[in-house]
Amino acid sequence: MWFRSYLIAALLATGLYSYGQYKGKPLFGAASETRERVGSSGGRLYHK
Amino acid sequence: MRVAPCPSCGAQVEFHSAASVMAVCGYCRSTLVRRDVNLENLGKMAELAEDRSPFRLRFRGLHKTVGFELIGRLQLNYQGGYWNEWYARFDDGRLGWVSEGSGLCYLTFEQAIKTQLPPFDVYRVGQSIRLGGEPYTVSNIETAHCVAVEGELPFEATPGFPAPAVDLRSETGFASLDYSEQPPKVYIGLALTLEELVDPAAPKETERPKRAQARDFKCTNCGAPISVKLADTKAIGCSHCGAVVDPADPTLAIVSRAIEALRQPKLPLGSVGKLRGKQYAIIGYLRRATRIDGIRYDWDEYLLHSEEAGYAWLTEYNGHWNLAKAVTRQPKIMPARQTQARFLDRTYKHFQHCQAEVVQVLGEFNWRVSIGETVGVDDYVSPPYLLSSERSETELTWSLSEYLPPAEVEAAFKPQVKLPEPVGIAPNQPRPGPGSGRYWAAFAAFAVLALILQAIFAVTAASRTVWQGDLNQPEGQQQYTLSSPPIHIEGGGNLEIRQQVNVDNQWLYTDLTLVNQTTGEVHRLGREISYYSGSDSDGSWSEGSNRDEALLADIPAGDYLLEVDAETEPGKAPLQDRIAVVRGVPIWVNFWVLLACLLVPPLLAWWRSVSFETRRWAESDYASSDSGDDD
Repeated sequence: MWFRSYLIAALLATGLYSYGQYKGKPLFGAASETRERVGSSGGRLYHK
Repeated sequence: MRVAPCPSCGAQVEFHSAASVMAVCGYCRSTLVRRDVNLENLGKMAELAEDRSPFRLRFRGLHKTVGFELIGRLQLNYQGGYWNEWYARFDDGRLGWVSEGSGLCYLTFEQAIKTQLPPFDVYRVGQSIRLGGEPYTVSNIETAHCVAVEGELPFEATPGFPAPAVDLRSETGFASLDYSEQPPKVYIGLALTLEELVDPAAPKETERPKRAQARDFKCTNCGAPISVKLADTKAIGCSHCGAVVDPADPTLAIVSRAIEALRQPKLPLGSVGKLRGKQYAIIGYLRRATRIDGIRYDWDEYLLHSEEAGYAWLTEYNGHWNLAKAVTRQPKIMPARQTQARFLDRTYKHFQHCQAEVVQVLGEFNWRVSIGETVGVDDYVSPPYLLSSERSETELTWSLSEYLPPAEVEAAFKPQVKLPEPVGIAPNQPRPGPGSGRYWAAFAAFAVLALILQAIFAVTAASRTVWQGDLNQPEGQQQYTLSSPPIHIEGGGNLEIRQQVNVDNQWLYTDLTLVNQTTGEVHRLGREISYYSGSDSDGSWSEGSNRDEALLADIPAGDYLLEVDAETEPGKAPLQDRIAVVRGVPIWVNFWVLLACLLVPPLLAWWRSVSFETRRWAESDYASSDSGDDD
């Protein structure tokens, strides 16, 4: 039972890894950023 | 076949083999020896002792595809009881010998070999010798004496004539050296089970004889009633006083007396049950003991009998059970490492050696067991199997045990009292759950899969620089800015902002703002780049870096602006910051994290396995050595 659980968990982990790689999301090492929506034209005038 | 009239009674005496030189008249038991064309009468042959052999004269058997018939019998007496050598004539013309003992049969053929054999008294049990180039081990040394003859034989044999013999075992065969003549005769063959010699198509009148009826008598020691149920019982332990009696002896001689208070077996004698597909009856109970470092250890052995499978043993120590059977082949002790044995394509590790003494006997036994009898026991393990050798001065026997869960024993024999729970770990107890080998194999498979996927992601990653610009510090300004032109980014994935600055013992702080001109989404992040170096009493030192990479995950396609607000310390040389925006950077950290996660269960299984093996081997002669992992 434990071995089968390991196989299932390993498959899920590999799937999750593939999704993360596809989206370009690192589990660690991503820059600490803030995201906000300021307007359709963007630019420094909106947040400075 | 040649027929001649008996000179004594006139009855027809048959010689089924041209090689036979003597025959015993079936009517008057005259011993007749062929002298050219005449038969010489040597007098009356002694009566055969009742030994309840499974064979009888005219028995028709089958070995492989060749049938045979037993045409003569030489009955011998040795220390342990009676022994028969049956003279067999095969349908293909060969003449061989069949004997039986300890639940096994031995089929041999006389062979002429060039090996010069040593004198009889040189042999020792366990000694290795070569016979016709083949390695053998001495398994039995015995001087038996002829009791009587039945049928015909290829040599003259009279009652009382001594027959010193050495039995040998090899990995594949059996051999016997007959020292009753000089030079000794060599017989080479096989050890087989009785079932392997029975011809299922043989006529009923020559089939294996039925077992003898139960015999009842009184214990010679205490007078309690004793019943012998099996034909080949050579000793029986009285359940009342514990004395061991020889049922074949006309006076029912006492073989040995109890030396300590009797303990009742956990499985009652007479219990019947089905174990591993065979119907067994418990006919005997033996308690053995050994002393190690002054501490006595006891264990129980139950002798099982099955009409279809012969004899077997059920042993119990500390609640752990084993089903054991005598083996027909000699295991090979590895010459390089005496601590290993090979048997049937399996390697066994030596576990322990001890001197085992019989301390209690109850019920029937197919050898002349006596209380106080001591043998040297060596156990070799390869879970769930245990290979054991028992060595006395005259005999070396091997048995193979398989570990049985107590529940299986309980289900088979249904004792009224629940069997005790196992304590500790038995030498051949299988490890619970799958071994770590399966986990490692699965890990290897997933690691290869992850490596392939990572290679695909790395190769297909765009890693394309979508914009590159320089942010130069104006003379005398500590704060300054840079705005990029619109940056067009395609596809999906991450984005990395890389900076390389000529900082030298100073810092630069940059506030990066990436704005999606279409959606208005803003990504803000602050980065500090600093590099310091110098030297002190410990030598030169440095810290920090003049490079920085900031990774932004999941940035959709679109047109972006990058705005950089920079701030640095005063009084330093102007800084030049080269900024690059790179789309689709391959990520390795996810790969390493995945491998680390996949590694945890195999490591746990391995640790569990090592821990189990350490506890197992703590009870062995090698407690301080590393047990390793068998997977």
